[in-house]
Amino acid sequence: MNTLTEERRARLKSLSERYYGETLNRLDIIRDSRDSLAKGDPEAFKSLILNSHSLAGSGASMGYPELSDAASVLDEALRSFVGEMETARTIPPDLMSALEHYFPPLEKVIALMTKEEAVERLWRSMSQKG
Amino acid sequence: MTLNRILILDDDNDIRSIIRMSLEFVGNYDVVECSDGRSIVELARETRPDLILLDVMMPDMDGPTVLAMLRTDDDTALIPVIFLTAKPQPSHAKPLIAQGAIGLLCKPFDPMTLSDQIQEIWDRHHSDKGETA
Repeated sequence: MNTLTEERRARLKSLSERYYGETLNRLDIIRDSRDSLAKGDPEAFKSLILNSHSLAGSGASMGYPELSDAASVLDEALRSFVGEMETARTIPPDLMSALEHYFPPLEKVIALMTKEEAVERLWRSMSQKG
Repeated sequence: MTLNRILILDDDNDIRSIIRMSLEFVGNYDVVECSDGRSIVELARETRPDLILLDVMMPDMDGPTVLAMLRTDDDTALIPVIFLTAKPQPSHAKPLIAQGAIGLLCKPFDPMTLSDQIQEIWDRHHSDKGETA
């Protein structure tokens, strides 16, 4: 039986609250990067990849499988442009289309998250063993 | 050989934190964190981990490059490494294992079973080497 001590509960609460804030922050960065790409800045692509990849890799571990799923789809779509973007001087229209298609579902998932629920989800998943 | 201390290298602060909690709470391992591939050799020399958990995709230096760096240093060359990747397909996994990692774990992971997965890879590795745990 894995009993959560008060100290552990406090650490989980702190982590889940920080994760919630960080997720909102990453969403803002992805949105800004998308806007920069739309204005023709290819450098914004790296930030898009980095942040969508991070959300894909962390969401389910933090109790949000739907976040990992939505971010993975975006991450995979972006990844198919990596080679092209290494030398691109202009933004491929297909890339913007992919963003228009795959970014809104991620926004919706994050819009449904709350700080309170983030704490509860992580707490629940870390309390289940035994 | 007993697995006690695990060094985690991942650039993502949240991933490191959830791995740390998972390994400490569930597995009772001693955990050391590192966020930057460039400082891992020095940290590994100082902390002497039994195992390194190494993220594959990082912005400044990727996991395979870090592993190659660890292998060229006498003090860290023999430390077993497990890669952590968000792309577990065989086409990505094979080259990583061929580099000398003892296993591969997928992100996102279940924080309640991560310790068991690591222990299983560790036990298999030592069993293959003909050692007893």
